[in-house]
Amino acid sequence: MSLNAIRSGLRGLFRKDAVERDLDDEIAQYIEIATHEHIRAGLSPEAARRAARVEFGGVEAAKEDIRSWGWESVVESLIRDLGYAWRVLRGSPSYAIVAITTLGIGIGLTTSVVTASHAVLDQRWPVADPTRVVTIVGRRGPGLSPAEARYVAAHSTTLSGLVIVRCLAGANDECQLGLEDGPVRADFVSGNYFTALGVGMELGRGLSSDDDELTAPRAVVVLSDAAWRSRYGADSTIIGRRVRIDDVPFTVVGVAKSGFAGTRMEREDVWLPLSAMMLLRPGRQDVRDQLTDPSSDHSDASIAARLAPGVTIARAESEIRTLNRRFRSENALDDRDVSLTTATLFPNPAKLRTAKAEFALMVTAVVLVLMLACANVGNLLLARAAARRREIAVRLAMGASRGRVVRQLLAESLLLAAMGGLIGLFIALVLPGALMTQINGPLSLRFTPDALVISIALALVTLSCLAFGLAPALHATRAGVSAALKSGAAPMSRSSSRPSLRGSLLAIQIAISLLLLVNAAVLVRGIQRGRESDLGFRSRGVTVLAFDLPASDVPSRIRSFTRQLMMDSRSTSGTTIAYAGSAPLDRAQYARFRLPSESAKASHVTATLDISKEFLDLLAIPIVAGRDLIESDGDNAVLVNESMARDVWPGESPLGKTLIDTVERRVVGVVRDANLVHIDRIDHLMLRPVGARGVPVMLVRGASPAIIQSVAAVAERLDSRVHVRVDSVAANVDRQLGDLGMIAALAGVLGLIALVLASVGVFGVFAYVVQQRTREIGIRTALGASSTQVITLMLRDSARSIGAGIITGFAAAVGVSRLLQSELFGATPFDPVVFGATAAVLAIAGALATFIPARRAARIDPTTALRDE
Amino acid sequence: MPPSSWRPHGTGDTIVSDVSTDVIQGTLDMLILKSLSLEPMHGFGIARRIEQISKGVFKVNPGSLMLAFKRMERASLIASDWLTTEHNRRGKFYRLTEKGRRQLKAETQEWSRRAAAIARLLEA
Repeated sequence: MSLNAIRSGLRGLFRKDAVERDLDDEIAQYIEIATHEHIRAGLSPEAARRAARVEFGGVEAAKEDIRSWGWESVVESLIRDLGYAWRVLRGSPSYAIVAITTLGIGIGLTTSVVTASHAVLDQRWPVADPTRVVTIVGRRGPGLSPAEARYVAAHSTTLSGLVIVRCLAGANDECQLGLEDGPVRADFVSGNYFTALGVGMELGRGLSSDDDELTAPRAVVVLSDAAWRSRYGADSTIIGRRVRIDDVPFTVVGVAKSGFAGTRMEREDVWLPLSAMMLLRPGRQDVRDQLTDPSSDHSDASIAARLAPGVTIARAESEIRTLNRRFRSENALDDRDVSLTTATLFPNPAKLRTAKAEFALMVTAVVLVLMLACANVGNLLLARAAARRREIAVRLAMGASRGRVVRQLLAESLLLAAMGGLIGLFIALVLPGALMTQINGPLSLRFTPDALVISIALALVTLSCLAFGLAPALHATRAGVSAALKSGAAPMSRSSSRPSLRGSLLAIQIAISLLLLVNAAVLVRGIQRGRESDLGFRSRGVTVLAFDLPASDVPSRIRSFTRQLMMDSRSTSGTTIAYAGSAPLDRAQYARFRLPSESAKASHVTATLDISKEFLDLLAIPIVAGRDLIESDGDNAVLVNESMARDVWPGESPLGKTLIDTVERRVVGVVRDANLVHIDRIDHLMLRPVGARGVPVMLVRGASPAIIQSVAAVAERLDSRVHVRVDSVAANVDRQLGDLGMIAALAGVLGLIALVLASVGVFGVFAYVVQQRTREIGIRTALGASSTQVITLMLRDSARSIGAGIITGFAAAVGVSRLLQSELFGATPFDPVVFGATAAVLAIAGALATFIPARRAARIDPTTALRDE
Repeated sequence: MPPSSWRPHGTGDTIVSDVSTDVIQGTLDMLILKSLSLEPMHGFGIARRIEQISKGVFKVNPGSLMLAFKRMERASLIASDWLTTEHNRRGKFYRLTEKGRRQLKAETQEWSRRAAAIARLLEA
């Protein structure tokens, strides 16, 4: 379109009056000049004027021809159609609100879940050229130890930089340290972290390899931009400042560039050199081992590398495998395979499969909700169009062209879809970030709604609007004008004979919401069962008190605090108190050991828990052989669980046997297997006397708030820096069921949304059915039908659709819950209680949604109804 | 003779006895351009000139004429100004733009080429 055409078209749109006046003037001028011509030719003024008019022809028709030419007239009629549609929607606000919200929820949920899934599973590291950064992960089990990673970095030719990222002692919660007085999330990274990944600095410098010398660790720290702003008010003199991390002084050397929050899903606040672990945990051999021991087994270390220019992942992988094999044989370690994948923020490749399955499940669920929303709106549109047959007939009779009427109805559908789309877009922008942060705390993930997903959802909704809006529109405009005007409403016999499109849509809605509800219920029941299941110990009513001391404290100080605490608190309260290295179902700790008969290499691995002698009693774990720990045992007696006894000493009694971990220990008893470490499996477990390894947690059965307070007071009297955390074993159980709980909650919400949508759908449809059948009902009532009979008539009509929906939904639900069972712990397949209850809920909701309009039908006054024409 | 389905453009009674629609569609623009090539004119003037010069063979429907003006103004072939007429009244005068002049030249050549070809065919 030329500039000129755009300009004059816009003038036609916005200066409509001026354009119209110009046209009038031009026509008047034309006629006037023609009149003058005729007068000059000898006609009387009167006759001349008439002749001029006759020559010109139909003025209005000519004007209309001229007006409707050009692009602006198309725009104008579109605007007029949309304006009319807007007024129509405003005329029936409940219909409009229901339809628009339904569409918005459908689009918003679908897009949100896909966005979240995409962000969690696929988001690359926020570094320069992230596609060239790969993580090195174990094929099965742990990947490289830091020592091995250093070996690979030194010998590889395919990598241009290899970085190590890990938490302090392996377990996730030790990523949290204290900065001055508040908690921060800290990552320990190799000295080349910032340079190899290409992360810029806001201030100062990143870490260097000199900072990360194992022999001479430096106490330096890099702050995140966010931490710098929130903790230090973006103080520009921060570089060189001394800050206290876990009470150890560190020097700030840099502030990372704004927006960089680390390479994990959680948002990191500070980065320290790997070797600084030894400054924070002085004298801890296990921490030193973590960094230097070639066989270190911790799997949460993230080893990432930047590929050298031109190197493919496959080539780097084959080289690293070779190096890995060589390293492991040089250090007499068993063979283990590694692989390379492009680095994503999702931490643990082992959990990726589960996470993918969970997301697939959620995506399926929200797609079902979207389908439900489409069916719902489709049904509303169908019902509405049916009710508007008369209006359409009138418009046709008044001379509107069929195309014009169809275009009008289309505009209405489009307007609905567009407004629903806006709401959906808003939900998709806000929901994923808010929800994921709610569940996981501050995240480094960025949630940007996928344009493709939004377009697909929007297209789907628009299509269904168009399809459902257009089909009745075409039908209505095809029907004879006079027939439609005469009947006033749908033909009477239509309702009961053939299965209508509307009936099938209703059935689909019921089926989908049944499916979602059943699955939500199956998940919730699974979790309930997980909570109530026999864990092999008493998990209820056990309070856990944890004492946080600055981790840098020397072991002797921790030991004296612990000894004092155990003594003092024993005397303050009358309830049973036990101590443990960590609470049941909290962090798993593992130890290597060997048997005296074996070579020097410690080759067995077992979970360990350090316990005081009251522990077994408090949790009601029975001893099946031998005896409990007693005070006089010292540090050298241990208990083992049945699984360990069976596997390590097959066919013989473990009692009196020795094993060697850090020292030589003697097995004095065997305890019944219990899920003390993992909720879904039982590992070998060795119970050692609680001792010098850090501050133990305190377990109290049936603790009242007063007792908790007095214990906290005791601890604080002993050391003013101590911080008491109160937790419970039941909470640990919930955490272990955590992901499942979230999914169940989400499924529950989706199920409820589905139920509401389906009920609204049934209600909307039957409200229209009643309106349409007013006359028929009037006649029935006039002929003597009671109101009960009228209501029954309506209910029978809906029962057919609802019944069909429930049966279809059942079939689908049985299949899906089978699938759930194979993917998720705790879910059970066909559960008659769940199925029965859900079906009942749906049937009741459906009946209610029918009953309300049906009762209105029963109240119809026959004389009014029959006059209503 | 015109085909039986022939209907005048617009609603007024139009044009001539022996010219078919598409020829008119094509030629009307050209005739307007030709009329304006001499001097700026208002609508009636153009209609009158076409009638006079064609000796009444072409009779222009005012509605079609005005639609053609709008179309041609959009295409920047002509431009309009409100001026005072000989009767001392405001009137809309059309004039040829540079683009219109080029278009007229091109169309004239094309027309002559076709007319000559048809003439040759009829004479052969």
